[in-house]
Amino acid sequence: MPQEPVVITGQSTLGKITADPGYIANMRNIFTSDIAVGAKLSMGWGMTKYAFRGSDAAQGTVQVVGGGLEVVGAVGLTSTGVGTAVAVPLAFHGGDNIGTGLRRIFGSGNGTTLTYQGTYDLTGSREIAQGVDQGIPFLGGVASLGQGLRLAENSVLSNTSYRALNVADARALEGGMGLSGKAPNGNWTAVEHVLNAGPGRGGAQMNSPWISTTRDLSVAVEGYSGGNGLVAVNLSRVPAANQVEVWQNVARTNLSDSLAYHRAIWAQEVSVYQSIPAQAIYSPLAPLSQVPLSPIVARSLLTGGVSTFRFGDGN
Amino acid sequence: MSSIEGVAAELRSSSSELITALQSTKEIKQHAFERLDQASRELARLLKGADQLPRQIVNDLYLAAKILENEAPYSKDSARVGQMASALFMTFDLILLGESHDDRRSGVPRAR
Repeated sequence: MPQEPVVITGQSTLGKITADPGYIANMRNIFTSDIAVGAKLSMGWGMTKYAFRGSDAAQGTVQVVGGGLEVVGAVGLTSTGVGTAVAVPLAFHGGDNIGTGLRRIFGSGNGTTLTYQGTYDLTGSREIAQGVDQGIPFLGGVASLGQGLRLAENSVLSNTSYRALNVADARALEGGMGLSGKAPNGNWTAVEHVLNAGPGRGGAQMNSPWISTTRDLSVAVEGYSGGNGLVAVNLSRVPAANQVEVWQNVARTNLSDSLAYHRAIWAQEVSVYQSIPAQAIYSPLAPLSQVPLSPIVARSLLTGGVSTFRFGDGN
Repeated sequence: MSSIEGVAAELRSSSSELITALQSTKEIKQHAFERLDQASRELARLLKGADQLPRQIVNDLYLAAKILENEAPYSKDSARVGQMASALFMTFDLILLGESHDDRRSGVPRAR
């Protein structure tokens, strides 16, 4: 692109007060200048903060968005008793912020919420008023984090089964592998596996491709523990087509089906075909290791963070 | 005289009681085994010399024997459960041979 020649007129602007060219023009000037990239970013950030502090529209918008996130977070918290205790003041505070933010956008008010004003009127202390005003969304964020972690944990546990390890299982896990059936290419059905009897000699050791797990931790601990440890299996990481709960699939019209049904019910057995991948196996004490925590933390920060740490004049 | 149906019902009932306890609480129910053993011996007597066998009830006997054999290593008394399995396998084999326990008395020599 051809550059226009620089014309030096000899007139100096030193000492003159000129109008602010605006945020966009200032940013363009900064990023087209010859200064180092780090300095550009630093100046750009400073310019952005300056522009934000000076803009009721921007601050009001942030306040409305923060209030909306508080309301959304409050709705989410109402699913539990403890959460409701935080959700009610959080919802009120969210609505308060939305109203205050809207007033600020349209040119009335300075962003001071009813919560702040009410507390200040009651206590006469700006510190206490500010603490309450920012403490409510902070508590909402903390409650949201706690609730998010608990829901995530419940989600994992609701689709978890357990296995008391045998010697071969323990060795496989030590080698970084998953679990395998005693005879991965055997031809026993899931019913025959649960019965522990099917065609051929040699029992399950020679014929069963299935791996027994149980939904009931106490069954694994008290019924099958062999002293080689115990693991939890995240069934959502095992192909659904390879999982069978025999009791749901037998008609109980003959002896073998009836025996299999009762054993599967007692053991709460989930039979897994051939193998369980290593990534589906976790410590029974750490179900949260199976879920990504960043979305939960981000949601909590959105619920409490924007309103807690937003810039404001009066609060 | 017992009927096949009556023996079959007793065999299934005693098998369920014995095996369900063994596979869940690991309790070894001796009385249930004695009922099962008597029912299977009676079945052998009823089927003695028959050219055709009722497949379902004979298979139920074989199934019970195999479950006991396979569960024995995990039971509280593997020798005892193993002996129970052996007793049922003996009866099953006699049924296939067309014989009953009366044909093989302890202490009586038999050439063939």
